[in-house]
Amino acid sequence: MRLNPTMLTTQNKVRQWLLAHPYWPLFVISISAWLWYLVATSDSGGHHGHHHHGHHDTLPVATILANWLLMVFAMMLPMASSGIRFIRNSLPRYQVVRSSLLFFIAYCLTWIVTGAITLLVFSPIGLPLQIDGLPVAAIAYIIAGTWCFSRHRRAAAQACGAGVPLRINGWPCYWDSFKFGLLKGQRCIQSCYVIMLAMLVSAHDLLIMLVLTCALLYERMILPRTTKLLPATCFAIALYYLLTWPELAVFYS
Amino acid sequence: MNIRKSVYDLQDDTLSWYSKAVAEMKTRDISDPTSWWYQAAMHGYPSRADYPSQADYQYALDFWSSAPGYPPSSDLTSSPFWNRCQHGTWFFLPWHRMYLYYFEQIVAETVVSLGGPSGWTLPFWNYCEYDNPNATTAQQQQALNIPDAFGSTSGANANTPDLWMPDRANYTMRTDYVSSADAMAELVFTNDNNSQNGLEFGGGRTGFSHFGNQTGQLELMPHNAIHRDVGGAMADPNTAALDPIFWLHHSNIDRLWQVWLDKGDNRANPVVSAWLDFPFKFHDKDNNVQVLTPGQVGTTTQLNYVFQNSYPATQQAPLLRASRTAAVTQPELMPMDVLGASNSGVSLSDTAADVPLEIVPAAHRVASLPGVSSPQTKEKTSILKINNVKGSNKAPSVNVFLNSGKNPSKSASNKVATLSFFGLGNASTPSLEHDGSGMNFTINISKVINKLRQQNDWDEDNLSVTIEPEVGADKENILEIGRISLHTECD
Repeated sequence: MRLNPTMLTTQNKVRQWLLAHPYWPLFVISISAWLWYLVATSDSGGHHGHHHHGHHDTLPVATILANWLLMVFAMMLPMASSGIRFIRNSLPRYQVVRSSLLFFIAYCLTWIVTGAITLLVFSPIGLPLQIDGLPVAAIAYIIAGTWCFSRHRRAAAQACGAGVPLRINGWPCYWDSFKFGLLKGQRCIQSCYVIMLAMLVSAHDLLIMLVLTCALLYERMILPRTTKLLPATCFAIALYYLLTWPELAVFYS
Repeated sequence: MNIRKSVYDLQDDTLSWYSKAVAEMKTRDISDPTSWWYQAAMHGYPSRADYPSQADYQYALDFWSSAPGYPPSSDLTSSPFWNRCQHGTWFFLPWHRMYLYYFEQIVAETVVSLGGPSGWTLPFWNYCEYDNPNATTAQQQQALNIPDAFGSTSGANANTPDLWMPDRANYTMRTDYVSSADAMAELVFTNDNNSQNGLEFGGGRTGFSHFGNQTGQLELMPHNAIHRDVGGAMADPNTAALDPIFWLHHSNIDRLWQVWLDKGDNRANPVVSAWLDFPFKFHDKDNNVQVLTPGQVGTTTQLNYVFQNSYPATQQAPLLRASRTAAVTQPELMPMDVLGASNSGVSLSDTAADVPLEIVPAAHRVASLPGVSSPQTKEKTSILKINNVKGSNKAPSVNVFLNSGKNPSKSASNKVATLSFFGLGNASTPSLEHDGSGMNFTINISKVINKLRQQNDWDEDNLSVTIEPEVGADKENILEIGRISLHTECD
């Protein structure tokens, strides 16, 4: 086996790093989404740490979907990095960029369709969900945390990292890459949708979004049943919403 | 410092006490962490989902049925201590080292409780001795055999009756199943930074992985091959640790890890926190839960034992190798690219299949197969990846051949590997433990490429792979292969 003699130059070190981490564009997009959120939060002036998707029933559908996609970019794209890495490891270099792009499009498409269906279901009642006398946000996160323990969710989280055979040339390669993106998106939705839904119905805080993203990423690294950090995080968030529920505040004001 | 010895060099009653300890541990309830059954279940316990048929499942369960407290409760089967063995992952070697460490403690304690001597240590079965050029023919042949104390096809050895296991398929290993040479040649423990080059000694980077799909070279050969060749309980990860020979086999695998480190050339364990600090839980001899991380078991001296020198020879590595502050530079390997791959999946039962490889168009290649090597030039590395292999735990071993030109053949000159599958059923089944995508294998084909290039009919644009199941393969046992791909170092 030959050692690489060209590693010493900085240019080649950078090149090698980029090759070894082919999913870097996903992180760039994700970080950009977070920065957009930070700017939007600052612009809303005085509502520190609170970014509301809320009052969707007053916004155009396209805007609502765009906000949903932004949330997907911020939280879910890092989770898709293993898919890009798989493409990089499986396909000849000349196919990697196109195939990665097709994978990315298909992955986003699954989330767009899921988002569209979700918003269609909730549009008659509006988001964030408000039901008099019920701490909706707390309930949503309790459901999400409980869901994390379900067999279905745990199996889906385990399956999320699986690769599939990809053909290497021509249209079959592009079609396989696109299908892989759809599959990855489907598995991601199976394991993460309930948490995203909890965020959607609760007019989530930016800090909460960040905490959940970190918990999801940590779980991806540690899988599968060696960590309970994600459900614990959901329950902690539920407790936070319960304690800050205005109707409960009456008892200790 | 304890010394683990070669089973063929034992001059004392180590095996006699081992047999007695096994008998005693088998009387303990399956829920007792110091019982033979519980210890074996930590490696794996049968789940219906892992087997293609009820009959196969029942066959596996029958190995357990004499355990006190059988069948185990669902709390036990889903406990955080059962079904923990790490395969197809960079945790394969450290997890099994920890597993053997606590097992050895428990057996040693049991020996003392039976009136035996203190300090019992686990021997190793060095089948690699077959390849030792300095060994006599008799020693080489002896190494291929399961030691006499473990019985034979005729039944148990009267002096050590509890070391026997029914249904073992072979007591003499195949000569091509015992070599560690390919694994020892690898320079990196895990190929974390070199995407397409899947050749690695210890396994790929993963999280917790009970049958993952990033098999290292040592796990592939001789580990998987010996499991399959012994057969019976040893062939199935859900029953393997019930066979007393399992522990001596893994003691040898554990030894080979240390041997690899001692070969130098910057061979080293991973130094990243993701490997060093990943916790695994076990029970010690006093039934207390203990947590170990790979960083704490990187060399055997950290656990207060060494191996008797045996082929390939070992010199005990200094602790520095496993130190997090050690400035060991991992070799940087040449990047690789795909040159060709199969266009469709392959289904195998009992006959060979020829799989053509679609080659990357010449205009788009950044890697080409090496020219004929000479003593003056180093071999360019080329590999074959066989991915998404699915089947049952009874899947046959397969021979893999690389062909050039229009006439595929199967001969020693174009044979690249024999693949043996251990835990294939587990890896093929989506569950809480596995993603169900099957197993992946990487084979170094550089030498065969070199041979084929020297033939008149060499045609780089017309390559194919022949997969041949071993003789006697069951027609009902279908092996599915997702993709075969050829990768070579970039130009």
